[in-house]
Amino acid sequence: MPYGYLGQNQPNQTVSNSGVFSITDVAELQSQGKLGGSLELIEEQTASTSATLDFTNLGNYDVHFMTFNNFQADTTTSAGVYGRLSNNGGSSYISTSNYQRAFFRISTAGATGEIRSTTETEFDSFFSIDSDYPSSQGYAYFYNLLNSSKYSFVTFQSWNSVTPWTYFGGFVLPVAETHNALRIFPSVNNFLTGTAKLYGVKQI
Amino acid sequence: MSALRLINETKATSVSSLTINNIFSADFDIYQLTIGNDNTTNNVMKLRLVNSSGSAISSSSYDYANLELNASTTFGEDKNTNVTEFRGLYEALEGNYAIVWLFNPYSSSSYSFMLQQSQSFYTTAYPRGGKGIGVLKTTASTTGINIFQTGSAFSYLNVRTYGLRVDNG
Repeated sequence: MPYGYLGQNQPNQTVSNSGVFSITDVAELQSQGKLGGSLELIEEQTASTSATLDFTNLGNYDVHFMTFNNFQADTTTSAGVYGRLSNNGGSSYISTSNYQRAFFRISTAGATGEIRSTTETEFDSFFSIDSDYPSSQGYAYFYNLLNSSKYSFVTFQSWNSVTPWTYFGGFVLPVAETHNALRIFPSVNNFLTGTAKLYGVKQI
Repeated sequence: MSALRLINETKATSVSSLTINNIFSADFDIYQLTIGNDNTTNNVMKLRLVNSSGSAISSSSYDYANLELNASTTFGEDKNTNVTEFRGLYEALEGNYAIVWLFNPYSSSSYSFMLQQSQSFYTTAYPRGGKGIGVLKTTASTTGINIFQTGSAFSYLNVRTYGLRVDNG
């Protein structure tokens, strides 16, 4: 049964979607470790003329959520914003041709395109950046990064301001091992701005 | 505190069908599901909503449309109207992972709408992603979900349900 969220007559809350617990529910949920919001911020990183954003603490989750906000390049050269995983806590990042991708893109001008390959050396790409264009934004879900017996999966959607396009689709690094660090980086040059927030999605 | 509220987590192994009931209520309009699974072969995960009597709705009232995003072959479309379940969530030996959003499943005055995005390793050779929509064209209130497949069993299935809290500000 769902817990007895109290929706009515609470200040600043709608009747439905209220998510207010009774005192009894609070006590019970807290005892089970289930109390609180379900997106748990692990780390926020803001780029400032930097070439990499490394997340070396992934907590203990099987689903992670990342937001990309206000990403901009420091030059007028277009750069893809890539991702790589590490199996040694961030001492190095995997760059073998094992990354696979499949995503679709649609431009505001009406163009469409299938982007697919099985021999990438990184997650290529979440979106692009170029200082001639506004900033780019997006989000991604990562699955099984810390599971040593599973491949690592990604789904994402983004607003790529270069053109502009929307991208949506996913990536897989088909290597069953623990991936305990994540790097976000531009294909060339540096980030001028950008904030990436990494969340764990609560599990029991 | 984030606006997502964990309502339920259910895990199962070696099942071809899993019903999770009493997860939708008047407390939320919008729900997020995270679904992870492995399977012994390629297959298609199917999703039905469960009525207030606890029975999966199997009438021909589901419409869906899904884009298949394949890493090593041309993308495809999977779409149907007036079928008996939502499809478009894939599964395979190396797993499938999906985020599913459900809108108004508990409402007795609105259709139930679905958004999903998934990523699987559909064969031993390449990934297949999915991006899709769906609607259950009935205004009857539903209280849960039924996940199932035909012809094989899930090796592993993990489903978490979250409600999305909304404040007036």
